[in-house]
Amino acid sequence: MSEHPYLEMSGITKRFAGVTALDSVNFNCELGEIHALVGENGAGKSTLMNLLGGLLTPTEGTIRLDGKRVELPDPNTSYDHGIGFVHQESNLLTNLTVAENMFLSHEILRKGVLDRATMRQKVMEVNERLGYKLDPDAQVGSLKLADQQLTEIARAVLSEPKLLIMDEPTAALSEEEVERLFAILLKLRDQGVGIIYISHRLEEVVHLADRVTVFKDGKNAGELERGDISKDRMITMMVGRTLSDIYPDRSAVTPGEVLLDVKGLRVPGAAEDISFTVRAGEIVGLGGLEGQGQRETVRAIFGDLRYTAGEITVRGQSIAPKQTIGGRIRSGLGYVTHDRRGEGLILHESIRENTSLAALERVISKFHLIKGDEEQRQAQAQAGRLKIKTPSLEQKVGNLSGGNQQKVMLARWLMAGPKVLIVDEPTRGIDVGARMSVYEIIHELTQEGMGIVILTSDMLELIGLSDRILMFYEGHLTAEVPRAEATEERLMQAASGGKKEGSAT
Amino acid sequence: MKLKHTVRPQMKSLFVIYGLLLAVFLIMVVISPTYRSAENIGNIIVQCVPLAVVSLGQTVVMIGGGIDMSVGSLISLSTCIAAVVMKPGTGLSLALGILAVFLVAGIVGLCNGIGANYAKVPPLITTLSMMILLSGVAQGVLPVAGGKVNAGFAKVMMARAGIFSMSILILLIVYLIIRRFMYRTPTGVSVYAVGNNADIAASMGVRTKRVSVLTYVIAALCAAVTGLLLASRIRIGDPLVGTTFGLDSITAAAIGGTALTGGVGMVAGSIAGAFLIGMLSNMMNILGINHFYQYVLKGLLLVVAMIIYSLSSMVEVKKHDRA
Repeated sequence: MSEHPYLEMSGITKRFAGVTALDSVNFNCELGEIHALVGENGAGKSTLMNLLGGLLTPTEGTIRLDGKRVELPDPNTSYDHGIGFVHQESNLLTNLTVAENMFLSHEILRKGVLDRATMRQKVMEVNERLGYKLDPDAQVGSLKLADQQLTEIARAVLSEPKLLIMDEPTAALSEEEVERLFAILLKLRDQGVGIIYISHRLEEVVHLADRVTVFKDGKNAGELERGDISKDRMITMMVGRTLSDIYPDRSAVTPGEVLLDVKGLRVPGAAEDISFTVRAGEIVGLGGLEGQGQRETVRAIFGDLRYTAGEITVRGQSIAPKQTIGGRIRSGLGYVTHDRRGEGLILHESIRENTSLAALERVISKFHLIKGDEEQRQAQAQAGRLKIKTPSLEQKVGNLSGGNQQKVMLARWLMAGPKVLIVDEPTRGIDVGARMSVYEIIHELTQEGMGIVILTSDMLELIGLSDRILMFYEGHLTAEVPRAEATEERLMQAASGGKKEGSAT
Repeated sequence: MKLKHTVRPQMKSLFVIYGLLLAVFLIMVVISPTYRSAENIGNIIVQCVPLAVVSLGQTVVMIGGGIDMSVGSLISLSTCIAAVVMKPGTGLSLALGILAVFLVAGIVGLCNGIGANYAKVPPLITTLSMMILLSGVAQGVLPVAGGKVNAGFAKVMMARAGIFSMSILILLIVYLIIRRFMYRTPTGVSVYAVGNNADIAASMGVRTKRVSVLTYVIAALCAAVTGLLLASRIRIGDPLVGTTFGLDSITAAAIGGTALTGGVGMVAGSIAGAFLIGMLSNMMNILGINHFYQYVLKGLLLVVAMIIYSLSSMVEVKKHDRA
């Protein structure tokens, strides 16, 4: 090994409109090692990788490859430097085929036109190498989430990278697919590829990594070598406290009457025979890999998706399948979306307007006219309660930090006064401080008798917050795990169907 | 044809639209005996081609996620430029006239593309402004219809024998070029990519802005061809002749299965869309129906086509659910 590491990122700072996402961090990666990068949501891992992938440019700091300083202004430059990138969220074009996606902007030409036959051939070769069964002509939008993820991995491997960035590649993969991916990664490492591996699943990291770098709040928080890597050490470095300090103590919780009762729910193409209850004062966590029907289930309960069978009862009152979202809100349901910027908040409107949105009709208007002073008073009360940091309620929501935006989402539903609140990915993209206050708020709401359903892809959050965990796999409930029995192994097993599955790709 | 290599789910919409076209044709053949003649069919083709050509360009823009409202005014302007520059009747003036038309179109397309991508003005507004601006320029060049298109040129452009004509040849050439571009070149695939999700396309290394600018240039060049066809037909320049082509080309593309949201569409569909619009107008003329109803019918046609597409995509979803 040479005296300097192959990749050397030093003194990297990245600021977005006044927010410092990375504060002079250092990171390096050797060829032929798997270097895991861990940290909480918002710790800056993805930002650092986006700098390496040419999607962002650093405010300060230098990137060196093989000792030479490089600028990576765009994805093609990174590609040319041998950097492959598998993105956290599906980053493919749904209207194009698998082959078109894998070769996009690096197509193979013959006589000036696309050589589709050769590209198809190459896809089959990569398939063989990785043990996948991707159809080169299948439209990506028609593929399962797992296959889309495999397509992304295949695209990155196809480019024969020297450095391979894997940003949470396993979020949508089953246990078997994960194992196969690990075998591939180990093989690539032995062939001399440097792999940067980001994951929330710390057990994966323990299993896979040669070295771990921990980020916390946009700064380096420590580094561990192979022999020293353990889950506890990583967690302590990530959060600066032990787990019991982050999550509210829910040992004293005694659930009350049943608030939400779902029986035999069927959401076409997504979920089958789903039954569960939520009691007053209880937090029920819905877990599983991405895209296993958990989101569709709660959307159907909220009236945003059609369901063809099943019965939903809120506080003993049956809800007709045709009942509108508005009607369901009146019955006492609320839903905080996972995509707060895309479908939750109206970014160019004020905190006040965003907060009162779900309560306009019922709570603060008379004869269909909004009572302005009442709106002001209640929005103020919620903002105060949730400690939304803002100079004024008239601040545009788009200017707030992720954490404060999430609080505005919660404030909206608190004003509407639901009995059962469904919270989808409550802490995605928000920093640790805001995270703890979101947990605290959720905890307080249950103490006031509300029933909470949370959906989260963060295993620690699922375990730390839920009183009861329901695991989804391919649209079915595979396990119901009480808090006391919830371990990562137990949940991962349920998330992969409870047994080793024989289905390929 | 190796369309097999580029199978997209929208292929099905081609059957819908060409089926509809055939149905309308058969109905007209049945109700009107004069319709059957090769002469009349040739006529219809010559009438439909100008819209079909500009619709091809419009389709490229729409697949790339944009829209071009300005093509109608550009068509009018093209006829005016051609008629003014070609007026002396010399060979040099002919060459200059054609060159000037394409040069102006190229610049207009660039401006549209730059406005919509670099100045970040929404495409609808960019091209709407361009539409208004160009209609002013056209009326500046020729306040009333006039000038003179080179007679020999017009004769060649309008040449026909039975159902064959120079018009259909031009359409075929433009179609083959655009088809090859869209399905057989990396940039064509990029147009689909940008229309689907420009951010993701950019993260995969596509130069999204350049690709989008190019689509507007293609649309403008198609409009120039349409302008030359129309100028050859009327033999003069007319600052208002292209007015309806902007919305009609969007309608033709939409009827042909191109989504206004971008990323979806096939160029062949737009030709059928344009012919459907043209044939219905022709039918109403033959039947002596007031031309106001043509607009009613055009509107209904669009709605019906959209309903068919949306129903067929719902069937798709159901199939997917069952699988």
